[in-house]
Amino acid sequence: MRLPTRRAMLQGAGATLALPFLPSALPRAAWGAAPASPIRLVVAVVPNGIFTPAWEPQIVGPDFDLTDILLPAEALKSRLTVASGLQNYAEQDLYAEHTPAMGSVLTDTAFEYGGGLTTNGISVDQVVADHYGAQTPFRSLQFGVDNSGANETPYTWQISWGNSDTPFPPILSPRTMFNRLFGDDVGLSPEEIEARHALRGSILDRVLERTTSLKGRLSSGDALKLDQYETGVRELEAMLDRLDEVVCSEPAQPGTNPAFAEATGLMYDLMVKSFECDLTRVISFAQGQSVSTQVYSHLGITTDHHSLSHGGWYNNDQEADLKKINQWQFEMFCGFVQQLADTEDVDGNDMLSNTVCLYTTEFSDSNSHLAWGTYALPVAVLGGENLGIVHGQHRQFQDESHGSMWLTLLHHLGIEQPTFGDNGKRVLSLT
Amino acid sequence: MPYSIGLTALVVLVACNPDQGNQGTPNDQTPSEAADPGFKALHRLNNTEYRNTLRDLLYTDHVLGVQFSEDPTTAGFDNIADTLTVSPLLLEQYELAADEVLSDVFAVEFETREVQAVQAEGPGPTYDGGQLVGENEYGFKAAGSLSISTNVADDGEYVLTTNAWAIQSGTEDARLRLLLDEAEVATFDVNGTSFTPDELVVNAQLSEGVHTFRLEFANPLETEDRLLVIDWFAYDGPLAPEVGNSLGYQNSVGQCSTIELDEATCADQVVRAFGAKAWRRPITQEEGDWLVEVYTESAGLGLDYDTSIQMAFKAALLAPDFIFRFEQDAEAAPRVLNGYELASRLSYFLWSSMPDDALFAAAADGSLVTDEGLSAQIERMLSDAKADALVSGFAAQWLDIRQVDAVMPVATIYPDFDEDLRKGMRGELERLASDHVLGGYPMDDMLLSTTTWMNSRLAEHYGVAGFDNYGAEWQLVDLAPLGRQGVLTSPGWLTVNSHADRPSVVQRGKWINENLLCNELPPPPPDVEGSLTIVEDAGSVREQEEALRLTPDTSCYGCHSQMDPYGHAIGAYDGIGAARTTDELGFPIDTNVVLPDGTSVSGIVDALPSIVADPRFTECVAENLFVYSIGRTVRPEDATYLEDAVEAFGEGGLTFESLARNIALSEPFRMKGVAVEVEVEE
Repeated sequence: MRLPTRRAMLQGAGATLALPFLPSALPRAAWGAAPASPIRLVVAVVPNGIFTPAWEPQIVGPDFDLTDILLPAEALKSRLTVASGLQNYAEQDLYAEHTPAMGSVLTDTAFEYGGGLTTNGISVDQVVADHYGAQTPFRSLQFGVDNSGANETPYTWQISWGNSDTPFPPILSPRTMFNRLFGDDVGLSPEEIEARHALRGSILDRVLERTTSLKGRLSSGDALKLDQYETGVRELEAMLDRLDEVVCSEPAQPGTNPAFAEATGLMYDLMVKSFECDLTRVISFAQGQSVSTQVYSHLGITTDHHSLSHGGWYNNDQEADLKKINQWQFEMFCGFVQQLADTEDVDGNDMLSNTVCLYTTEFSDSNSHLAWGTYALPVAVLGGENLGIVHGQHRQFQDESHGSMWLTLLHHLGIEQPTFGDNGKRVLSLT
Repeated sequence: MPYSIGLTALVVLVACNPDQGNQGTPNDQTPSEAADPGFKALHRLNNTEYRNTLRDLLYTDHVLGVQFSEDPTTAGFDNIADTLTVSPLLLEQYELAADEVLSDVFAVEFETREVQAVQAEGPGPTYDGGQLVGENEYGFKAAGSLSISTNVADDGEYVLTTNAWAIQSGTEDARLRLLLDEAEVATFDVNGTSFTPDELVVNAQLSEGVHTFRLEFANPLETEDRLLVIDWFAYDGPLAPEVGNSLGYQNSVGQCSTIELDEATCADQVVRAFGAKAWRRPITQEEGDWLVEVYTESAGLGLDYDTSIQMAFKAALLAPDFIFRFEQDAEAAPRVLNGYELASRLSYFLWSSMPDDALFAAAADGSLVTDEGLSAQIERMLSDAKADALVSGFAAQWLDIRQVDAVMPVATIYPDFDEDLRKGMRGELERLASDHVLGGYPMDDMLLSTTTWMNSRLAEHYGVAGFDNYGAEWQLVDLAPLGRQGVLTSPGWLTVNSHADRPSVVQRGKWINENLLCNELPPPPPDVEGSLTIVEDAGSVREQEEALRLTPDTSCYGCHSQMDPYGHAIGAYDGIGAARTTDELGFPIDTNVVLPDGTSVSGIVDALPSIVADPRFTECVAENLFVYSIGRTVRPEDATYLEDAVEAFGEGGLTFESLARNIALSEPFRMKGVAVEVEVEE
């Protein structure tokens, strides 16, 4: 599609650039019948751990203290559960590497990679996508930020995993994500938008026909390959059809190279929009890449995050900076959660009550790189009250696998499977 | 009519062979009776090849925002036909990528002459009300405006841009009114935030001379709760007529002038030519029709010429013919590949990308399928800059150079390791690889080289005294004073083959066996303890390692006796490749070992001659390149071909080129075997 330069977009007449933001433009409400409550999951994983001593509340139960890092959740305290005592047993090495920790946090499976072999279990968000994904144009969406480039393996943002060791890589550019969700048709006339849309479907139809006809001429092994291709095209078409039914006003198209802090905000904005427009109900957000060396200059910090995630544990100056970072990260997440709380859902409740919002990280102790042991894995859950979760508590568990927490959330999300991952064997109490 | 010659050749072939398209063309290479070239499955482009192909097809260096999932690897390479599957996610990414890159190529840039940007905070503007906001912006809580007077040099149409944001209050958005010489040009709703300000754009005609722009806060509130903040104002122009000026556009759409021909005729030519290039072969009349129909449909829906052609291009890029390298089946007996099929094999082998015009021409005129023609192309292509793909593709995977990016040495044990060192390690290995793959040094020299490349960070790490860059970042340094030799003593290789906290005897030994001698060793039995836990009072680390794995007559011994001696011989280098004389417990390092072939050596440098003298070494290099070049794993039936390759390799002085040439001229490369039927699992 032609992307006009900003200058070309408006010829002659003064006009608005950004479309107005309509919080409740959801399709099903307009159709009259009482809609079923949507079920949603969003999970954000921050890299390099969280400074656990300043995260975990001292007091257990409903009167828990909001620690320094938890402070941003003040307005949402009654909708927050802090879970402690959870351990990532899937990462049992004495010195866990970043990448396996990142890969196993949502799967509770020992993530193996390298040497041509990559294996992992299915991540909690993809389990939900398998169940509910067909209801929305996008089965699930994977967001990411951060290009500090510390570690260039493909797996540093890789938290979402499907079946058969399939990674679901995140999109790191807000502009690219915007284009994926809303198309690159900013500044085009309605007729042009409609024409392009019709063509998109027509091109896919043709490609499908061609693929099918080519398939007929091949040996069985090769036909299989084209079969996969065909399936891919069909799914794209199906997604287009579902997108057709979405009535939603587009937000403004983001710029092409936002700085890290801005990009984080933009991604959260797009996530809100994705839920509002019912483009998906399952989102994961790699809120930074594993081993992130991002410098949080907007917080006045000059040392890179990864160094602070080690130094902060034994150096007081670095500890202050590390806590600032962790607090800002959680603040961004809480800002997003608040937007969900402020948005009306199709069933009349606020969106947050139908959405489980999960916040966690790679390590419990980022200096020793432990995802289990003395310190527990930081986990916070907000929202989803409609799904039976009772919040406003610090719930402490004893040497419990974090997979059990994911299993518990799955049960609340209406997916009552017996176990999750390698170690998630118990349904915990969140009621 | 301006066409480029290469495209014409392809278009002409369409006319001559309307129904043949992909069929074999006659050539003078007669396959031997016993030709058994082996079967390669339908081969999709891997991520690198996909990106490079778009780069070359559309003459663009646009970096895709779409992140592809990592390609699966087999036998250490990510370009093996069998394992390159297609997922629905990949299809979605292909569509996104095609849209993105075409959008970039078809983007229209206005020619401008003057860009004047005036910062709101000054100097420049005059103010009526308002105040500075921070250091860089000017804002209004109440009614007010700022004015900018300027001397416009030329008549014409200009683009006026205001960067502004607002803090909202009340029921309507903040509004900014732009006046030119007191006449209103536009009023904008401003809903940007300080993090994501709006760029408010409008075009206007300006005449030469002095003009005043006034930016006014159109709807302040009594309560002063609504704020308008302006960062800068710019005017660019005068605008020249649109010119699609990207190279990709010029070389495709620009090849037909719609002044001389009508749009439909040009579109037909342009789309067919693009289709042939994108699908890397002449296309049939029907295939061309298929593509042109997309243009026609688009134009029928009211989209303009450029956009409609873009749509047809998109169809070409989403068709399986682009994504896969189709080779016609061999029905009853192996068949010789035609020029175009061979061209693709060759270009993806040597360049990880599509053929260029010269290679297409050699396919078209029949020379590519002859020994001489093929040889000539190989030589030409190896000297082309695109052959760098052999370093980043073949060498980087065979030697695990890519793994340097993944290592994470423990910071407390290796505080010296930082990103600069990582880059240095990788840079050294890439240059070494380049010298051998492209620079003509014999391949055994990779192990035996007494010089290496260093930058200052690496020199510091190596402990080179008096390193002088002589102005260039990288310099060749003599390794003799350091007692090192070749890739097996390079910090990059040593780090990749270490644990995060100490060197790995087994990994280093295993690598030598598997990557240099193609001696695949089975994995350890499942109940075996992982790596050694070092304890005090049990002797040196080496002694503890040997006690664990090298006790004769245990089940470990058979495999570890082949690996561990190498690992111990390399013991003088720590987990990040720095020289050391004592181990983790303080014991002096002992690098005296008995190699699997019985020779006693002292340190790895001593062992190098026996490694390169081992016949398995040259066989292994040959095998690795065979796998990479064709994109399939070896079968027992390939033994004769590999023997031939090894012989040519030896006669060619062990140069990469001699091996590559032999393989590219061999039957497995130039022919396709009969399909192996696949058992479909129910």
